[in-house]
Formats: sequence, C-alpha cells, structure tokens
Amino acid sequence: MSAEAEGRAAAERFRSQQNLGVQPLGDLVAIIEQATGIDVAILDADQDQHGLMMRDPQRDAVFIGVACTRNPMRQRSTLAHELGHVLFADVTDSTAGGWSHRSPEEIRADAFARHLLIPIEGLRQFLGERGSLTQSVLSETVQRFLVSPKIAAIALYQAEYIDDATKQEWLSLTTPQLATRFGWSDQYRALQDESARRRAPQRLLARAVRAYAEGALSIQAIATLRGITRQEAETELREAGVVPCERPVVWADPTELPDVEVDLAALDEALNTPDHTPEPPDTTTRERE
Amino acid sequence: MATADIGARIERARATAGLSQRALADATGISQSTLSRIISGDRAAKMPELVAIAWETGQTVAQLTGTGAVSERVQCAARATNGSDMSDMRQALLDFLELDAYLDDQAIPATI
Repeated sequence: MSAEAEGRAAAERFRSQQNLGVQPLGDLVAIIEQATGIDVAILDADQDQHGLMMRDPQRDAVFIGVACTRNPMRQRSTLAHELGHVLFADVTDSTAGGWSHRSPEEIRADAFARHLLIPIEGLRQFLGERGSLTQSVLSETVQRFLVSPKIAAIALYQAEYIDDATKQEWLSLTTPQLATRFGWSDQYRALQDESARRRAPQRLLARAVRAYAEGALSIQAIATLRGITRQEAETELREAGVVPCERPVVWADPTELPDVEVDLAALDEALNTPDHTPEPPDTTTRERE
Repeated sequence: MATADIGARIERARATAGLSQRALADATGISQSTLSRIISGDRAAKMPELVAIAWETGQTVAQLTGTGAVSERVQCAARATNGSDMSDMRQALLDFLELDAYLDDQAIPATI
C-alpha cells in the first residue's frame, strides 16, 4: 500500500473510532487530548520548529508540541501530522537531526493529516453535485474545513471536482488572500489570534494543580507550565479556590513523652551468655590482630 | 553528574522561571555569592540547596541534576523546516515528561 493510501485508511479509521463522522473538526487540540489521552501543548518556538511528538517508552507517556504561529491552517495540519506519527508509532532517531527529510513516514503522516482534516466523503457531502468550480468554492472549502488552500485543492482534485491544471493554479493561493477576497478576514484574524496563543498541556496542568493543592509542587512550577508570572498563577488559583494545604509538623515536648518501660534483662542475659564457639577464644591471636 | 553541568541546568531553570539571580538567592535563602559559584560550577550544590532551588524554580531535583534519564530514553518524531534541530521544543517536551514522571513518583493521580 502506498503512503498516501495508508495515511487515508488510518485517517478514516480514526474518524470512525472517535465517532467524528465526515464533518469538519473543531478544536483539534481538545479532540486529540480527549480521543487519545495524549497531552498537546502550543509552545513558543522559532518558526522552523513546527511540531514534535515525544514518547517516554518506559512510562508510555506521550506529548505533542506545536509552535505558536499566525498561520492557523498550518498549525492544524501540523497537529494532525503529529497525531499521524503517534498512531503509526513513527520514531525518528533523535540524535540524527535532519527533521526536514521527506521520508515515507513523513509523506504518510501528511496524507493522514489531509484525510483527517478534509475527508473526501465530507467534501462530497458539502459540495454535492457541482459543475465547474470557481475560486469562491475553494474559499468556502477552506473556510469550512479550516485547511490551507493547498490541502483543499488536493482534496478537490482527489474528489474529482477539479482537473489537474486548476489544482496546480490553486496550489499557490494563500488563506489570507481568499479570506480577504471573499469577506471572512475577521474570522481568519480570530483564528490567527487563537493559533498564536500559548496553550499548556491540559492533563499535565490539571495534575500539577492537584499536586500544588497537596503541597507537592511549588507555585512556580504551575507558573512555568502556564507561561505566566508566579503572582498571576497564585491569584488565578486562589480565585478558583485552590490553595496548598498546610501540613504542619507537630513537635512534641520531651516532657510530654510517655515513660517507656524497657526491660534490659533479656539483653543482659544475651550478653552474659558465652560464645557458641566450642573452643575458648584464642586471646593471643586476637591481640596480634 | 559534573558540577558545571548542574550549574548550567540551574541557570536554565532560573531563566525559565523568569527569576533574577538575586530573586532566586532571596527565595532559597542561599547567599547570592554562593548561588553564583554554584551556577558557574565552582562549587557543588548540596542536596538541601538543590531541593530549595528546584522548589523555587518549579523544576524537579532530577531535572537539575540530570538524573531523570528521561532524555536518554525518549523517542521523537518531528516536523521541521530548514534543517531545524528542534532544540527549544525538545527541551519543552522533556520538561513536561520529567514533571509527569515526578508526579508519578509523588503518587498524584490524574484528575481528567
């Protein structure tokens, strides 16, 4: 099976297992966290670091990180791409570098992402029977499925709505261009604000907050996770009614200690018993030692 | 665990927490000169000092001493361009995994 077909099959399987139908997906972070139990974080990182999946094999804990970006469509496809790596259990040798290399695993994860975000069947339900398509339909598709024009164009081509020449022409269009031309630039800006914001991994944060309440974690740990200051974290938690429990150490006064009866007779007896060695100890050797 | 490595990790933890060296010294009760020598690797940190620094920087002792070992066993898959080595994101996710392992050790159950 080709990487494309494998990716598509896995995407369809994931959608059906998670009862996602063929509709557009909303908040991908929440979908991944709820469906897979994997924690997802949106992090400040330079623009060439799109996404990373990391697994601790010993504890079977997995985290996905994606970068804050003003390009919301790319962030969604990166998230879906990383989910693909998780589901295929892809692993790259972390010492080798070369993350930009286009291996079959990368192509498969890209195909998975595309079919997850914009299933051919969902596209057909959305568009129905149509004749020749204009760019306004491309814009509608991009706006509905929240994918880049490139991904939308490939899906439209695979669903046989457009020919190869149209696909090639549309590949170069950008989301801001379509949003501006077809009147949804306000929505696009809202999506940009969302994708540019940091987001802490939800399950880890919830667990850390619990540890803070139990006095096992400092406020700074919460602040670092959230990317806010210690004071902000403290105020936020206090307002939510989360305060670390006090575990006072109770020191007893020596005079309050109870008198303990210690019976030393047994010890005396043991000490007075001669050694079990049949011969008497050789004192001369012992002294020489 | 080399003293200089621990110093460098403490320095990173301090910067991540957004604390000045002075603020960290005040919070931990370690004198600023001692803290500065620990960070530069001139003096080994004692365990109670490490515990105090870990608490105030929001890291775990394992992270500061590099004994967490999570970094040696993790597996990754990434999406990057222009030959990026993903160092920022790798470090951020390693921190999450270390914290997660620490919460396991502390028997803090998952709430969701």
